Amino acid sequence: MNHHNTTLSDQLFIIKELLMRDFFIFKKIYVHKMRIALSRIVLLIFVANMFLPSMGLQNYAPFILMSSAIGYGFFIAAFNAIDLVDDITDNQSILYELTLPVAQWMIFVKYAISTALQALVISLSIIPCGIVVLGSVEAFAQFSLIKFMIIFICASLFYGSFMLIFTSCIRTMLQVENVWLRLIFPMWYLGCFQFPWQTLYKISPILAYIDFLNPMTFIMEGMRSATIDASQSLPFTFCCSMILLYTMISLTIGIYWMKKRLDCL
Amino acid sequence: MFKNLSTQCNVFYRLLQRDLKVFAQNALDNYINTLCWVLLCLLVYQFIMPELGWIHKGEFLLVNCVISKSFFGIMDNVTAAVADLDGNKSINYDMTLPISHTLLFVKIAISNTIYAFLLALMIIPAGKLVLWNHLHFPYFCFPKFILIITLSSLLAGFFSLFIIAITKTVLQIEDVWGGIIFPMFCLGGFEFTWKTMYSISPVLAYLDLCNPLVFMFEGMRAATLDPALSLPFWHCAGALILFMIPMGYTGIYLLKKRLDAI
Repeated sequence: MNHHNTTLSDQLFIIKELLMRDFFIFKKIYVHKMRIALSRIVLLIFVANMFLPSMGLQNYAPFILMSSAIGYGFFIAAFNAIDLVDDITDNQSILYELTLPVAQWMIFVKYAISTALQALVISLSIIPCGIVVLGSVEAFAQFSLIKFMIIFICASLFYGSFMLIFTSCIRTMLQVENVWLRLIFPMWYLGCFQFPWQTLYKISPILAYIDFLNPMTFIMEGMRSATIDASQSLPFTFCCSMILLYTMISLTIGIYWMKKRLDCL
Repeated sequence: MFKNLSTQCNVFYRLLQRDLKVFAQNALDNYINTLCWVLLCLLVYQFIMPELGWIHKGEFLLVNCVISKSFFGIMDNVTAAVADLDGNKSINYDMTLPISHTLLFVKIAISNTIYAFLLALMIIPAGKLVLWNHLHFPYFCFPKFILIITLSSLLAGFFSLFIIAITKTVLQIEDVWGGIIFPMFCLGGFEFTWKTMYSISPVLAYLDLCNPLVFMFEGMRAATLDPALSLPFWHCAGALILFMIPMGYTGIYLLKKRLDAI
């Protein structure tokens, strides 16, 4: 069916219905996804809280809690991309969505929004459990709820759009490990997950500026600026602006690559 | 009887050879992936983490990566085996060959052991090549190093049988990662020593001795870093052998039960 015969409001209605369907499916697997997320993150926080101070890393657990919580959405995006690649290379149920009377780019935007919502819900749910393990909120004296929500929304939007890039990069399921270890892991690990950007700058200003090419840097720094210590992090507004810039770039490139991959009109 | 045994050994050897050919086909990709992971961890722990107060340097992390690889290295094959059991069941062909089913499962464990061993073995040379002057191993003992990688890979190989047996579908792999593999790894001492744990909570430290990864990490550190940091090497080696027996027995028993093997 040609989407040119369908009004914009009808197209938006279809996208909304598709999103509702995705969220209905997500609701059913939410507990399972949370269990998997918590089994990893709770342990990381426990180790950082209990043992790492003796290894020289003082007050490291709140740092790891915030990095892990906001960084987990990146993995949600990666898992969703793997599911989509599995679908594209096997059942191709995406072809049904592409035949609906909506512009095809809207279908890809729908995938991005769906992933963003999932990342937002799971990442936000991690925080209370992490704080329980931490046993104290002293480290979050500079917590700002508004900034906290803004950075989570910005990060989730980025994850949603970057999911399209992941999907485009993984040609077959056999390539999952390659993409995981050569793209996902380096972006996450060098994106200031374990260390503040200022420390990297002290060691090598050049490397620190190169790290600006990694959007995860702004996500992690923005999160810490909103929750732990704004003076030790990059400016919050700068982080959010950069994340949104990267979101736009990822979305544009992601839609272009996905259209090319699926021979869209 | 002996003729039968020699046939079984021959089939065992041929199957192992086939598995190694598959490994060789993917070797380059596997090595590049391993290198990406190790080198990033190494650079962060060598140069950045000490600035945050971390008391060790890259050497500590590098030797832990060796053990991590010998443990996690099996997971590729575990996923493939679970997918096979869940789908094509090509293992049924192997089970019709003139080889006892026990020996066939031992072959899977040995094959996974070799796979993990070969991946783990290249980690220290790779790290040393990149950070030549920064990495120092004054206590490095090569025979102990080889022995501990071999024992760790063997344990991981037999552990893989256990994981294959209890994972019913590919979808459950995520649960196994989150519920078994990651907790074992995280509490096994990738980032801290057993002595650190003991100084904080002796009860937890003794409980942690039920986790074989503690002995893998401690044994590796005893073989390569200052032995004062770790549990005695031979205790670790002995404990790994002790863990291997029930692990192998349970894994083979559960797999036989799952596949209705004789």
